[in-house]
Amino acid sequence: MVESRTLLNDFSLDFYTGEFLDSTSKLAALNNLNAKNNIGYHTMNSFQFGYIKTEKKIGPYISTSHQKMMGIEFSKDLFELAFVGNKSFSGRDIDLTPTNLQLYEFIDIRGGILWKINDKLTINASAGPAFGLNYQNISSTQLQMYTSEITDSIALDYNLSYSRTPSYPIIKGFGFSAGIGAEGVFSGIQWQASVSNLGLIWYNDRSVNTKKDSLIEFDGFELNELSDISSDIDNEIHRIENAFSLAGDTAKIKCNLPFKANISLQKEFQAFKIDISALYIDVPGFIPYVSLSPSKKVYKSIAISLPLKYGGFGGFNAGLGIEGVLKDNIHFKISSPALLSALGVNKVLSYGVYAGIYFKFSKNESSF
Amino acid sequence: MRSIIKTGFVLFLIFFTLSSCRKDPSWDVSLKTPLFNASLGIEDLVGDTMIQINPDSSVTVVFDKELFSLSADSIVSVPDSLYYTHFIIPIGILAPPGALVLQKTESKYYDMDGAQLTEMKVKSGKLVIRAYNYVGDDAFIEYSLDNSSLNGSPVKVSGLIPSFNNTGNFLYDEYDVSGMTLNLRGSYLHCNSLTSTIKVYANPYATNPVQINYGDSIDILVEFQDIVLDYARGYFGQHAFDENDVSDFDIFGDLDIESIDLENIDMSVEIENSIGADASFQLTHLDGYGQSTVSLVSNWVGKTINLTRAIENPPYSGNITPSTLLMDFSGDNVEDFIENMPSSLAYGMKGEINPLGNISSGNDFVYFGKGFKAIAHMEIPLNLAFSNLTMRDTIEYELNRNESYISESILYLDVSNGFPLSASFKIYLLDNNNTAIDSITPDNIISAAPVDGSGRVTEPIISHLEIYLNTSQTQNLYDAEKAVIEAVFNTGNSGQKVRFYSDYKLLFSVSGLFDYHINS
Repeated sequence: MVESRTLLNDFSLDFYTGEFLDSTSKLAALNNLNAKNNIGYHTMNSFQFGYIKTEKKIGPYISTSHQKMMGIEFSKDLFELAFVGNKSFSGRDIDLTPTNLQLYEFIDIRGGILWKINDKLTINASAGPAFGLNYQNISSTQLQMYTSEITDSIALDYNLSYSRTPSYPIIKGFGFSAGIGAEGVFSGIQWQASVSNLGLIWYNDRSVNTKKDSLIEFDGFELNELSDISSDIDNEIHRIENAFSLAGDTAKIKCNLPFKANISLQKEFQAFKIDISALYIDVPGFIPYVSLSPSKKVYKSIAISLPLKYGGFGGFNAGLGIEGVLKDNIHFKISSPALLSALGVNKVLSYGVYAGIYFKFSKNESSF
Repeated sequence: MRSIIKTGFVLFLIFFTLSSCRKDPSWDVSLKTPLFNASLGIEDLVGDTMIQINPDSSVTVVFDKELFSLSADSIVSVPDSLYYTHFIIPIGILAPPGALVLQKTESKYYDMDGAQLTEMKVKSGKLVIRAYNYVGDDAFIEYSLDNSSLNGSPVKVSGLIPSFNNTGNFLYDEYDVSGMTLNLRGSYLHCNSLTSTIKVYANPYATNPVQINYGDSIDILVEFQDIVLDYARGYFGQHAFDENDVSDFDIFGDLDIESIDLENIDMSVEIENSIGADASFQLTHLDGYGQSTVSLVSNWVGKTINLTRAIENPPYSGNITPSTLLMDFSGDNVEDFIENMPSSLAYGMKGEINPLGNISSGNDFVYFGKGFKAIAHMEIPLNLAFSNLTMRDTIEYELNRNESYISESILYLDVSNGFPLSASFKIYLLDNNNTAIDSITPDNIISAAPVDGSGRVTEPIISHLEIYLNTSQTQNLYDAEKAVIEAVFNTGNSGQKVRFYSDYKLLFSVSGLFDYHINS
């Protein structure tokens, strides 16, 4: 899902497709922003396998995933500064916080056990190595800018942390990942709950890690020697370049995996079925994602669903889905809870597709 | 400023650039940023080495220019050729290795155009020896300059002369004689004399006796090269000089100025004789080449002046008190001379050293760097009026128009002018053929600060100027390779003289509003 709770869809599309962002588009986007905004996306490709023989209570459990997610928090003033300029900030002290970004891309391979407590409760626990592909972090605790009324001074007071992994090799760090989950049936409601991404990754020593806590003020190039203007300008440029340089020192860095928690409930009624789920990922701008997806069989084993969602990187949205049986025990599910944005009913950015294929050995004997 | 924008924008960029095969978006931002500021005083405008601050803080431009000089080397000449001999072997002999074949001491008197020198010290220079050996084996040579002293000993040089018959080579060597003193009293005349001793030995490295045949010969030449005198003493003779020259006079530099009105100018020429010899001289003419040719009219011009010798106290100490004379031209046509704004001065100076002959009994002296010179000195109070003083400066630059560029801009100039000068300026943009492709003009001029009846500024005046560069002009700014800034200054409308003071300041602050097109 790529979403924002305030950034307009039209602006985002123009940006993404490389259009010229005219004043109308920028001002419309600006007017729709709150003081604090966000944008982000997450993709997760996963495979889980668990199996318990009928006469056993414990069986193997395997889970592997490739996860990529990024969350950005930004202020309305930062957006205006970046896309409109600082003309309207004359004489104002603007607060550009929050300005945070976190990007994760990693693979984990976990192995563990599936423990059937009783017929209504099965839990799993797994752990294994994690491989870091990319990581980037920008976080600010202080970011204020001042443009004087007569523009004889610009000041930036900032306290920034910046980390990033190098551009190669593909696998830049190693660590571990763990997770636990449970599933069962309660009063006719099938439920699943899990927490995962419990772990750390240590990235290699070519990673950049720097902190900048400074106040820089630019009053124009001071011309002390008319005969040596270029020297004055060079000195000032070097001062500013050094202040803004995020090159920093290279060193090993470690980062926690983005904690993830998930819970889903499923209840079948005579005429329809309802899925309720909630997801939380610990990245900037992500709020608990809650979805409600009623579905109804429309043809043999094919059902149409109407997913409604709120949260994640975006706000409320709704869409359509289809699910059913491909063959025997092979089930599929495709849905997009963002059709309101695509249709223009919802103005803010929201795109996303969920697709899954399930293979069920038999009820209560396998878990996917 | 762009860095701040980029820092903010990078957050958005990272997000969208994670996917490939997409076009880059573009947009315009309006950036307001300070650009330049400066505080300029009179010392920045005139050059602090030329100005003098008076007790009332008014400013006087002081200008010194050396017109004429005679150095030690131009008064005293040093003999170049020290020693030459062409020695022919009178009989054939078989000489043991290292045997002395020839020894000869010779005192030589040098004619120095009437000068009778007794002592000399070399500041820098070298002694060069060149020798040809026409014997069938190598020979060894020793040369000593007996009445010299370098580091406490006479200068002595030696070397192996290869047999020219066998090798085709000769001896050539150079010796540094910096710091050498020469006692020139070696001859019966007690002056201008140098004594040399030459010794020639059979090849000391030969394993057998050396066969020297009748008629074999050796040529030896010893000479000074690149000698710079540290001092000389004796009688320098009656040395005449007659110098006519034109020298640059850059007090007005490259200023293009229509007219200037000055007053109370002091101008003089100081003659300084640091030579221990009397001098008689005459300033034959002093002309300024400016808007026209103006000759200085003064009683000093054409007058024969006698200047006594410098005094060295104590003798031989090098502690010289020069004899000086100040030719003060105040009251002459100095104002006309300077208001002509000369860019060069033509002068004539003739005279004679020791016009009365050897009245010092051979005790004339001259030291390095202390000769005879004439220095023009001017003091011009900056109490003046001028019109259309034009200054031009050419700045070479290179602006690369990338995918991100400035499309339009406005420059704001806030000026606090504490000088009684108005200024207007214009910027010409030149291409690589030095052809003007555009000009940029502010919407206003920098006004002159108001002055009181005495010509002193009462308060600075504030001016606001804007320079608007439209799309076309901004494009030309990228295309051009040079900018010629032409500034025109005036001292007011009525021709009133204004006085410049050291506390006058020109403060300016330049900011800009740029429409910046960003292509990510």
